[in-house]
Amino acid sequence: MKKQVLIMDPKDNVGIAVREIGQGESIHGEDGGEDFPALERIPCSHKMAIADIGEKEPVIRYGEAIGYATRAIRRGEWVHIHNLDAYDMM
Amino acid sequence: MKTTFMGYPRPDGGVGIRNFVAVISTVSCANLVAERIAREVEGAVAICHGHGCGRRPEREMHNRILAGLGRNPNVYGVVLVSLGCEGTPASWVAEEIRKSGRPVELLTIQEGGSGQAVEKGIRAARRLAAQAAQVERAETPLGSLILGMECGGSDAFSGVTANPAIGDLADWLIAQGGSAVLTETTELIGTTGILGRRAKNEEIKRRILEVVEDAHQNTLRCLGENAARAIAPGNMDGGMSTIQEKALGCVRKGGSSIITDVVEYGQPSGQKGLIIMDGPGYDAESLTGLAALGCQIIFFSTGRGTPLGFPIVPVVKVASNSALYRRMPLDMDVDAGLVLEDGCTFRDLRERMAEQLLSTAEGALTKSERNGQTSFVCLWSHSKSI
Repeated sequence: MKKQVLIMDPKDNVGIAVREIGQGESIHGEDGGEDFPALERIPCSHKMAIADIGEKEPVIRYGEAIGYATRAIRRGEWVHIHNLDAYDMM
Repeated sequence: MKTTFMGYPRPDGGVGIRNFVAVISTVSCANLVAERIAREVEGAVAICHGHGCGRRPEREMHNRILAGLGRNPNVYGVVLVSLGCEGTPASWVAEEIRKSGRPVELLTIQEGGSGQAVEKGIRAARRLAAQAAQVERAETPLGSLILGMECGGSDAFSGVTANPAIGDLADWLIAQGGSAVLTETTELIGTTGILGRRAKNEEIKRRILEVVEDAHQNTLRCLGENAARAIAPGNMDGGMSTIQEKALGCVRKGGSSIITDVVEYGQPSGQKGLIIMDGPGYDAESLTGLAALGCQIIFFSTGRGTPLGFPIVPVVKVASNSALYRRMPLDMDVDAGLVLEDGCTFRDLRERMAEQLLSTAEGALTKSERNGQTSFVCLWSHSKSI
C-alpha cells in the first residue's frame, strides 16, 4: 500500500503527495499526530501544507526554507507557485 | 552491518574494489589502438575520449584527468597509448601515474605503426594483468572508500526518494570514516546559504560561494538573463515551485555532513568527509571527474532512467520510482521507490543501499558493468577547438 504524504524533515511544514490525493481525503498524521482533511485535490508529487503557514512565513521542505507564503495557507491546502514565492537569492 | 570489506591494497595507500589494467589513450587518434589492445586481454579495460589535442585552455586539466584515471584505486597498472605528435605530454602523464607506485607501459604509435603498437600493447597488458592477478583482496576499513554521487535523468521523485536515500548512505559512510563527493556545481545554485552553514571553516565557505557563483555566471552566459530563476516547465508540472526547492533536492544526495573540502574537477582531496568537487551538470563529464578524483564507486540516482556507467568505476543506479525499476530492470540496481510504500522507511532503504555498496565493493557486478560498459569517457571542456 502506498503512503499518502512523505515528510522529509521534522522541521517541514509541507509534505509530498506520493499519489494523487482527493479533496476531503483524510490525511493520517505521522507518529500518532491527529488526522486532518485535504482541503483540495493535491496532484501526485506536489506539496501539501501539513501545518498552518502565515502570510510571509517560510515554507519549509528538507528542513530548509524553499520560499515564503504569499498569503496565509491552511493545513491541508495545496502549496505551489500560486501561494509560494522564492526568496530573491539570485 | 559490517565495517570492513575485502579490497585490493595499492602502493599509494589507496584500496581498489576492482583490479583493472587500464589502457588509456592520450588523444582521440589513439583510441582505436587502445580499444584493440583491451579487447584482447582479460582484465584490461580501455579508456578512450575525444580530446588530447586541438584545445589549449583545458590542456593542463585534461592531462591531470588522464593521470588521475590511471591512479584510480580500481586500477592496478596502465598501458598508456600515445600517438606521438599530440598535445598531451604522454611522458608527463606516465610519470604522474608512476609516482603512485603503479607500473606504466608507454607506447607510441608513430614509432612503428598501429599494428606494431597493438602487438606491443597486448604483450604489455598481458604482463600487467598477470601481475594484477597476484594481488589478493585484504580486509579494509570502510573508511577507505570514496563514494561519488551523481544524478541524471531526474524526475519529480528524484529529490523525494533516491537523492535523500543516497544522502543517508553518504552520511553513514562518512560516519564510518569514509568520504563522499558531491558535484554538479550548476545544481548547487541557490543553496550557498545552506551549504555555507555546513562548511568546516570560513575558507571552505568562501570556496563554496566562489565555485557556485562561477557556475551561476556561466549559466547566465549560456542561457541568458533569466537562467537562474527559471526552472523547467516539466519541473513545475512535477510540483517544484522554486529554484531553491529543486536545488535542495539535488543537494540532498550529499546528505547532511560537514563539508570538509572544495576541489577542482578531478582533483584528489587530502580530506575525509563530504567533499564538493567543482564540475559540470552533464552526467558523462561528471562521472569522469569523480573517477579521476579517486572515487572507487558511484551511486547515481535517476527518475527517467539511464544506462550510463564508467569503464573503471562501478556505477550503482538508484531508481527514484518503482515503475522505472520495473521498466528498466537490466539497468537499475536499487528501487528507492519502495520508500513510498507503507512499511519501508528511509532507514530500511539506507540499509539496502549499504548492502549494495558492500557487495559491489567486494566484486558483485552492477547492472552497467554486466551490460558491458563502453570504453568512451567524456572530459569537461569549455573552449573552442582550434
